[in-house]
Amino acid sequence: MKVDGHETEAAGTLLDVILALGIDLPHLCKDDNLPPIGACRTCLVEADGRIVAACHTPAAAVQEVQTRSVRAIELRQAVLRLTARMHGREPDVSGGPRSGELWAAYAAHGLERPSYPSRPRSAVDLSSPFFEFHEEPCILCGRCVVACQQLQHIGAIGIAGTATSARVTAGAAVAFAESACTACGSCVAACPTHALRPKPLRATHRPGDARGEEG
Amino acid sequence: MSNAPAFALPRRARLLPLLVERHREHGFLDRGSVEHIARQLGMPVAEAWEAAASMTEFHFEPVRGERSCAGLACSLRPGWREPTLPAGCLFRCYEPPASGDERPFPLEMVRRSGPLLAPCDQTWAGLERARNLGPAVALEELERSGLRGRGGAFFPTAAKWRAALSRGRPLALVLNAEEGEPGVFKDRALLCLRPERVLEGLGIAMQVLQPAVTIAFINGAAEPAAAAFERALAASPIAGDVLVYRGAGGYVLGEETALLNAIEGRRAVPRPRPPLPVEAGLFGMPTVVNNVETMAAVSFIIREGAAAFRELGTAHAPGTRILSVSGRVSRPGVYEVPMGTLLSDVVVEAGGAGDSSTALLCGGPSGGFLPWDLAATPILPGRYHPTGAMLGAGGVVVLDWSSDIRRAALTMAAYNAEQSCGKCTPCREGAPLLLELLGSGRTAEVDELADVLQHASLCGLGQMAPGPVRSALEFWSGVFV
Amino acid sequence: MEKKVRSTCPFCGVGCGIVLHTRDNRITWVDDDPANPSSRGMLCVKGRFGVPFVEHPDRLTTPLIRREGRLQPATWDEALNHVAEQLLRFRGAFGSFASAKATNEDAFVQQKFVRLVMGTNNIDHCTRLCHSPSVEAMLEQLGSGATSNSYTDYEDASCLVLVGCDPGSNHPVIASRMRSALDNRGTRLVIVNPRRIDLAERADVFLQPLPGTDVALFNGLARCILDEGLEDREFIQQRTEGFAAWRAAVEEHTVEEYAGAAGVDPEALRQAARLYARPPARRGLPASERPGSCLVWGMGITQHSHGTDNARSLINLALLAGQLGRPGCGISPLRGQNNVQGCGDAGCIPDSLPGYQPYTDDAAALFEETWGAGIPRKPGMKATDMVERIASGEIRAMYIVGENPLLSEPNLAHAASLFRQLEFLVVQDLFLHETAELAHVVLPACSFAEKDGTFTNSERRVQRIRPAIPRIGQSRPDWEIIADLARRMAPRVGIDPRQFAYGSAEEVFAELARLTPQLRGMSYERLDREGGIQWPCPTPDHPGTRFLYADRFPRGLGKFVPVRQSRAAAELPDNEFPLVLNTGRVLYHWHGGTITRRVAALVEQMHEVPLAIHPRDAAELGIAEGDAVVVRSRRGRMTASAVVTDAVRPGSVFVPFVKLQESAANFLTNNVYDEPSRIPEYKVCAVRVEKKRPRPREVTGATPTAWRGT
Ligand code: SF4
Ligand code: SF4
Ligand code: SF4
Ligand code: FES
Repeated sequence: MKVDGHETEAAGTLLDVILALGIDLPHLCKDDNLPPIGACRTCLVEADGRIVAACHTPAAAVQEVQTRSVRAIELRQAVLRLTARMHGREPDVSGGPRSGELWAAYAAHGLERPSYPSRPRSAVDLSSPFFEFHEEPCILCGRCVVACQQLQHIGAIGIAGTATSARVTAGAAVAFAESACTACGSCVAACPTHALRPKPLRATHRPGDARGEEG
Repeated sequence: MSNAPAFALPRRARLLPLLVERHREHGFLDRGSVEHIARQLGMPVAEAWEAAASMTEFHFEPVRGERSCAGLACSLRPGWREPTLPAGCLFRCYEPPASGDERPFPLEMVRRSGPLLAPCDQTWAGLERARNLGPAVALEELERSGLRGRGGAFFPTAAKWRAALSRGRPLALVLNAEEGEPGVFKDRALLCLRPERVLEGLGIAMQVLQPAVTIAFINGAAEPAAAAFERALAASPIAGDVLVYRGAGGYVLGEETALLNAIEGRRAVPRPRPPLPVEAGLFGMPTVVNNVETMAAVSFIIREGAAAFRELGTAHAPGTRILSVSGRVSRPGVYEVPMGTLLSDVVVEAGGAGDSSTALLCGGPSGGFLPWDLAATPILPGRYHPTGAMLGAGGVVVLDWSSDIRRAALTMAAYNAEQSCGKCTPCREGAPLLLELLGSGRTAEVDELADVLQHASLCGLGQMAPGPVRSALEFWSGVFV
Repeated sequence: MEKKVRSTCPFCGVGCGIVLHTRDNRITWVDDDPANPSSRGMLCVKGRFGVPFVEHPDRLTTPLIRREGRLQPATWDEALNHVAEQLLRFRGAFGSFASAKATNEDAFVQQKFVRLVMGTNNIDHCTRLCHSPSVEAMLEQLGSGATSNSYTDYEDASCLVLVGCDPGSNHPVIASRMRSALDNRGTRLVIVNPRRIDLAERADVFLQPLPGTDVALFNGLARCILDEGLEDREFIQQRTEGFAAWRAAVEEHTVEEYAGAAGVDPEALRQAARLYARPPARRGLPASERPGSCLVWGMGITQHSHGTDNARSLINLALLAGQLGRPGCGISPLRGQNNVQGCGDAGCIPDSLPGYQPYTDDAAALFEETWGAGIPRKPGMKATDMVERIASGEIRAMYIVGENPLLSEPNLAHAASLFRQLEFLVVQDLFLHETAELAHVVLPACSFAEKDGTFTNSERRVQRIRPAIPRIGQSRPDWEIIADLARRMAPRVGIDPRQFAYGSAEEVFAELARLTPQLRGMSYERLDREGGIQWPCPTPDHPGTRFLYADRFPRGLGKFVPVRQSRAAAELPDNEFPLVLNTGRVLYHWHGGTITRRVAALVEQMHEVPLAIHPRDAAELGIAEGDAVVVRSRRGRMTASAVVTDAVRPGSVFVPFVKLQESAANFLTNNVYDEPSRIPEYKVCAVRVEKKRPRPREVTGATPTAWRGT
């Protein structure tokens, strides 16, 4: 098969092939080691003239892929602008490993300011001692949920609600600390926007646990 | 869930039935009961909760008042008031304005009958014949008939069955009686009036496919249809072999993979494709999902033979199609017509005005509007017009464009925005924007947005959501500025 | 400056791959490593959020010497010279504990020091306190003391039988892999545990036996298998011995009798037996393969006064059903600490040399030749014996690396009095813990994040750790400290100091691999290139071994050993102490808590020791959820906060053995031991629970001074 003119082996999904060639393509809802979700739609490419999501299209059936066709870029731009609509302020927290993916995608598609009206959301969950959830930057990509349900098989969180009331939700709409969450952090590691973010790692201690008070 | 057969689905497959039962008893679901059910099934609470919360017809707090219809046909009636409960369509578009619960489909609303809607004897002769033919020959007969799926996508039925069979066993069979598109009530007509025919088709499919599990998934609000179906099932030769599931909502259940997720006790959102359901569907089994009308046709084909089926309709689209006609007509109801019949003929037969004031909504929220001068088109699978109007599930709402088109387009846009399952960005974020643009008259911006919805959305709901807006603007743009 | 360093989690025996992210030499984030075949991109809360302990201000930064009764800072030269002088006085009355948290390299140098310089085999480590009965039984019956399968086999199995373990808390990532099997492959699950652990919610069969009746239960399972003819005759005939005698012993009782003794339903017992011996095939198992079952156990089996018998009865079961030596089956004693496996492999056990090689002529000769001196041939003392023999003067000096026995030993008050009698005690660790407080010299060691080395996890996978941050203070890697000490002492005992002239951890590993057949094919170069490798790996081109015993056992034939249920436990409840105490662990703390108590978030998550008690007992005692309670045994007392739950049986209470706010279960536990493994009976002792009375001053509001006079 051919990708942007390069001859290559058709193995796995289009996204696998594209990334293996070192071609940059946003894939905000696809984690390296998790099954595709197909929610973000930022990985659109033109495959034999059709627009498809690269992350869940098998490479085998495709002859030619263009990641940089005008059509593909335009559509990705439009999707990113819709994404930006809900992507509120995102802090620069040190520590999140996969942060910056969305910013990189904006930059690669020449998007500075979102042109659609924003849709602000504001739920906050600080209940876990280990990490926090801020809905504001959450783009509902679903990676956290897949990490919790299909990687760790814990199922402490889900996305509850339809349409614009969909929201990352712990348990039956309880705080993380009251859910089945084991604080494994796989959701935090998966989040591309710092909506889930670690509390700064702290090695400090509380009274009663210092050795000076022992014995 | 009734008549549990031997095949043991994973425990979480009982989530939806238990939620529905609980909802029925209490009128709503609270956190405690969902947690309790999750524990009973040994599944994570959050997964049960997200599944419950994805069902648009579940309430999570006590509700008061009677449901009244928010559908298009009803909203055209004088005296109609915006309902206080979000009820969507009540599927009684033939007797607007509708309120309260669903009622059994009245026989007199069968305005034109055909092989599928005609009375059905209870000899189970088709089933008998399928047994005598054996699976392979029965499948060949079906193939010869050229039957294509009546759910709206028109995929050749025999090819679907073959694809699943080629994947090996165990496989699953699902009768899709979720019928949730506003303005379409033909499955209800079949289930209420001719359940034996549907059951016979299902029985034949079971003969051919030998599924490990067969599920009939019936719309949660379609009480009379479900009751009629279950009664007939109990008296049928396949009694005990079919699990009856009741849904709780969502237009998105029209998408097969979302329906399968609902049965599996998961959030009812579409899955990325591939794999297709026939490759890996219900709990990973190759799965055949067929619509009620398709099953009725299967019964006819095996009883009367492929040739008899092919006598109706066209060479490429044999057989009949049941249209649900409502709106500004004097004889609303279901019309079973041979494929290829002119759309305008049916509208006239139903008593529509049939002049330049007439506009048709064809294919509901996923279809589009059509002006009368384009209505003399044969009823065939696919689009009547590139902007949106299509046969789809056979819904036809007759309108007077000058008084109705604005409200109708906004209603459809609002419906799509509301019914977005919330999974993918273009549909979740784009559909409400589309409504906003249309409502505020910023029609120039519609094109770009409609384009990204159509090409970037994960499933058909989002992909086809721009239809009503695009078609309304194509023919009557003046109304919106 | 930002860096990412691939390493291995320092907490439990799962051995997850981690990536340490640092900025300006501080750890900022711990990422998972999707390429790691043991953890496949997963971590648990400890690995993910627990690592900041390495940067805790409590870290020891200089050597300390006890002067005028107080530990005071000293230079390395002062400290090591002092230790060298002192230890020379105690040759012959010396014992050493190695650390199952330290690296293989650390362990190897330590045992070499003890054997070569101190001239004794008195070296042991914490496996004594967790899995020595498993190891004893496996060595006796199979000839090797390791988990036979890989984690992958949990996913390939058609049935998982979990006995006396709670992977959800103690081996979270293994639990995730097991849940994935349940979710994705329809794997069957049998759980045997006196406590209803989380996974029990998903079990096909859950057996909740009376404490201490394990042998009866497993003999009962065996009896069901025999009665229904489900045993693997071919396997028994070709691969085992001693079947007839064992069978006769098992058939002394009926299934009903066994079930009655264990307090479980005989029908459930039968169902469990069928599932284990002949499980229905999981989804996706090729029709040509026999459905396998994995038998997994934890300390609920071993920490009993008849722990070895318990382990034997499990191994008998595996032999009977032929669930060994294929993919998707096997036996797994789940290892507690990150490097218990490696510490034993590297020779920190009193009865064998590295690689479990006996002190017989051939094996020992190779060591003597390499090391250029004789090594003692008499097996040394086991850890629990070393402590008990302080009283008799047989042990007068000890060198303890990375362990805190004054938290992990049973009957803590008794243990503390013994340690106080030592004439010379060296403790080498990260923190000044309870045991270090008593030491004469304390040496600051580096954490895993500051050094090179290897850990060996529960599936025998040898994996690298790498330095991510600079050494804290003057701390040094354990192997380096001991090698330095050895070089100072060697000439005085006629050993060539060059035997300890290692320039790097890699050099140490090379020697370990050369001397240990099962590791011989490994090198840092290979581990860096290929990632972790599972032993046995005898040659440089050997890919490592996924499961053991494919066609033979190391001892030849597998051996059935008859076992009979004896008294359930050394101490059973009576009028005065009416409840049975069971101990274990919790997810949020690791082991005794010496490390996790120093992670703020982990402490925030759980800051009091919880005591699980059945609603019936709670009601009788007037105890409500959250009440402060006092637990007493014949040996001591502790306070805890009550959790009322029917997860425990009536008559039993459960306390994790983490120490929080000065309360620890091991003040209560019994120092009676299993023969031959000498493991203490942590799992069962008799206690009394009372609601803690509010202090009168809090009730009356009287001022503290009013009370001083009385
Ligand atoms: S931290 Fe909690 S919510 Fe996140 S993946 Fe782990 S268990 Fe799930
Ligand atoms: S919290 Fe993060 S990972 Fe989860 S849906 Fe939102 S953006 Fe995606
Ligand atoms: S499971 Fe064990 S090895 Fe893995 S992160 Fe947790 S403590 Fe570390
Ligand atoms: S990465 Fe393909 S849809 Fe998100």
